Amino acid sequence: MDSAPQPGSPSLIATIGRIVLDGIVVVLRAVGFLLAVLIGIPLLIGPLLVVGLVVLIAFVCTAPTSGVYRTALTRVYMRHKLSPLFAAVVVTLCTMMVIIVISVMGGFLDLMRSSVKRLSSDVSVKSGVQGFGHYEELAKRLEALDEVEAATPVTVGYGLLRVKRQLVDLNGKVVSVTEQVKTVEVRGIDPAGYTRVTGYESSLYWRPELFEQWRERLDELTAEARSDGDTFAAKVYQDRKGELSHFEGVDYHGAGMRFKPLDAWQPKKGPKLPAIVLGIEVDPSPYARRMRGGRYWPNGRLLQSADSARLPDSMRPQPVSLTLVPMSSKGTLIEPVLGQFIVVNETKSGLYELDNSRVYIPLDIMQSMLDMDAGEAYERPLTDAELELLALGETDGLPRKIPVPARTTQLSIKLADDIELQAGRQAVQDVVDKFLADHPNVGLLSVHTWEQQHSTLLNAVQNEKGLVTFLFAIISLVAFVMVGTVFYNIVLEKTRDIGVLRALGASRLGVANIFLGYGLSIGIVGGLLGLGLAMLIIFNINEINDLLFDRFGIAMWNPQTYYFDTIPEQINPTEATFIVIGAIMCSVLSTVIAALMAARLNPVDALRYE
Amino acid sequence: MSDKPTNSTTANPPPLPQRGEAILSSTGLHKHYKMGDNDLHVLRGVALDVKQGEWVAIVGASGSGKSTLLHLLGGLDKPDKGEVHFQGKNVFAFGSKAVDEYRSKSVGFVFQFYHLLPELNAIDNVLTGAMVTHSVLKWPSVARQSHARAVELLTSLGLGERLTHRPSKLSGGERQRVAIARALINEPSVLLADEPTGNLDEKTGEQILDVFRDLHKQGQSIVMVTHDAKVANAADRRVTLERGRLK
Repeated sequence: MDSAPQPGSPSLIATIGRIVLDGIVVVLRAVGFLLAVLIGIPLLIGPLLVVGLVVLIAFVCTAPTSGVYRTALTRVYMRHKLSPLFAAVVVTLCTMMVIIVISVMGGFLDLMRSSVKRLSSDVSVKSGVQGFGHYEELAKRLEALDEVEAATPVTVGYGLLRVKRQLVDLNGKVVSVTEQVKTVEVRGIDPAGYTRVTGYESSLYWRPELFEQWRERLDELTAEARSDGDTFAAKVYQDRKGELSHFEGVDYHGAGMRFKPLDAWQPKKGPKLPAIVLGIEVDPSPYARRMRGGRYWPNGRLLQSADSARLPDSMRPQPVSLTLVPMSSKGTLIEPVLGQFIVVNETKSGLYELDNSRVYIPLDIMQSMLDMDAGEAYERPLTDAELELLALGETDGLPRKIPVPARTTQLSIKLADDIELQAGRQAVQDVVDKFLADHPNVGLLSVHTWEQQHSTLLNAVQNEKGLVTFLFAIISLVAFVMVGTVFYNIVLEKTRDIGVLRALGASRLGVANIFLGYGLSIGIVGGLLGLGLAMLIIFNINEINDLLFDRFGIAMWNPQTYYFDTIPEQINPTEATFIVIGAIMCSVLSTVIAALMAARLNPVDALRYE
Repeated sequence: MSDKPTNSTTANPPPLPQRGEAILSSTGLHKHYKMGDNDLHVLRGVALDVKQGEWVAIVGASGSGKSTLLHLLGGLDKPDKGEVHFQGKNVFAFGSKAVDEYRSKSVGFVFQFYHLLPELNAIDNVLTGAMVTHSVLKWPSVARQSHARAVELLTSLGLGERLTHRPSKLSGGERQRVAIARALINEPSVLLADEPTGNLDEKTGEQILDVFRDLHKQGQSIVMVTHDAKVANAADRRVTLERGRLK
């Protein structure tokens, strides 16, 4: 028998049909992948979304012209069955879960970016730890660019911060001394210049309005306590307000900006000390921890108060010591140097990692401690014999001295407002290249954007967000499979009804549409309820966190692990919309099998179904 | 379902046949069923003419293929061979959409086990028949009229007090009346009844038979499958299905 397909024969039609179907699948998949890339969702979800969208559009478009029994029965089945309620609950919970996860993670990422950005310059030019000279010239050349608004030198190093606390008796006699040491990143800056390139000024924590806010809050609490009849609490709040008065009226902000301790803060004996600004979490002592609600209380910190002038040195917060290890311009280590500083203010970026490890000191002090200040040096390294001569105080026979320029480890640059980050970086790179050509002895300089500098941190969170969302989407898919089985059971249960409807003249598509409509209704109800619940939870998530802590001692959010003191309360409307639409489409998709099954039922068999 | 005229058996119908002319006919109907490895040849070339206004009773032993024949006549199942003609046109020649429309507008089914939708009350069950024929857009304009007809039908069948009762609150006879009303809502040309009294006691069965007698008097064409000789005697004509052939 000749098996070759004849024109118009069933096998030929089947082959053509298969090719057409394959083509449609390929197109849908391609569109799906494209959509996934465009809206930044996992690639595999894209085609699913597209298929869901096609089914949804087909359903919505055919709805008005199809038999009214479809909508009527969908409504009846929704009202009279418990299973659709469960399905709607599953869709609600999945939608809520994914929206909460993506929103909290997204908010977390946004907060992290803005916090990192706050204390980072747009672009940095960096050298090795030994620093590079002629940086003033480079800064001038950069500032001459249209793309650059400001450039300022920053000297970065690492050191040991020693915090001493003394317990004294009423006579000012020291009873005990505790010392704590912490590794810190030290930045030598010029506060005015640094403020021009970063949000340094706005990150200074102790400022007059803060005390104002504290006082108002304490008055509120006192009033509340009094109206509750709790006179003890009212007294405690008023006492605290009294403690606050020691710090009011002191110009911490000015001291932080000028890097100059007030004269009253200087020790009565010994030389005058320079200023230091600590990250707000740097102080390792337990007195300096934040309060519930994320605020800090001035008392117990290293801040000098308004009474400092009247108190003996022993009764005032002690100056902190900072140990740095300098390096010569040739990169050799020099003896560690120790400096004492008075804490004049603290900075809070909101990013725990920065706030916990960064301190700022004046640039000139940093340079001199690290031996990076301008000076003179022998034109070549000294021989052993010459070193002996030097030790004896002889200067004859030693090589000629040449001037050495001051060095810094980086230049922080702020780009002009309308300049795109990469374009700005390239402009800076070009200037740096020319500068290096003019100064071959400067060594290597690299140019980074703030995103590159913090890419490890930001990418980690970005990836985490993608991964967690993907995992929850997978969990949701499992849930939607369960929704599918609910519908499968409904179709089994309704088999005889389907037979009756077919006998009454309902088409296969019409019967399938009852169940697709069912899925659509459950998707819409579940999706919108899920969105509502998610919004309710997200906008109260910190209160929920507090409540859980108060009642059950469970702290969902540990700021020391999560960088921020409060959980971000924000929803990205685009993401939320996509999730709700996705939930509706998944809900419709999960009913496709059941709908197809219903459509394929032979009406005669359906009527006989027991 | 589209309301546009389609190339179907019911679109632009020819003038209704006069009493005595064949409205529904079948020629050479064959139907096989696979039961495991066995091939059951249930119908072997059945030819039947149903005239306008005629009541035909199909009788035969259990398993003789009576219900199968009724399903084929009503377009609920497709014959393996042979044709079903309604008003002179082959029911299966114009695709599944035309068959669906034929079932909804030209014939009405009444089953032995009533097959009402349990979640709907009597009137909504009757209206389901009308809802199948009207689209979402058209329904608002015909809903009131359909509702009135459903009430009228149920009332005429003695269910005026039972309009909002669910099937579970109705007796067997009442359920069958609701099923008959549902079958009649679209004013079908032929009523196809599959053992309509088979699940009822003798007295109730007689009452249902009276309903069919009344309908027949009004000129309704009826094809009824039964194995009850008394019921078959009420019909104008009785045909016996034996070994897949009509006698």
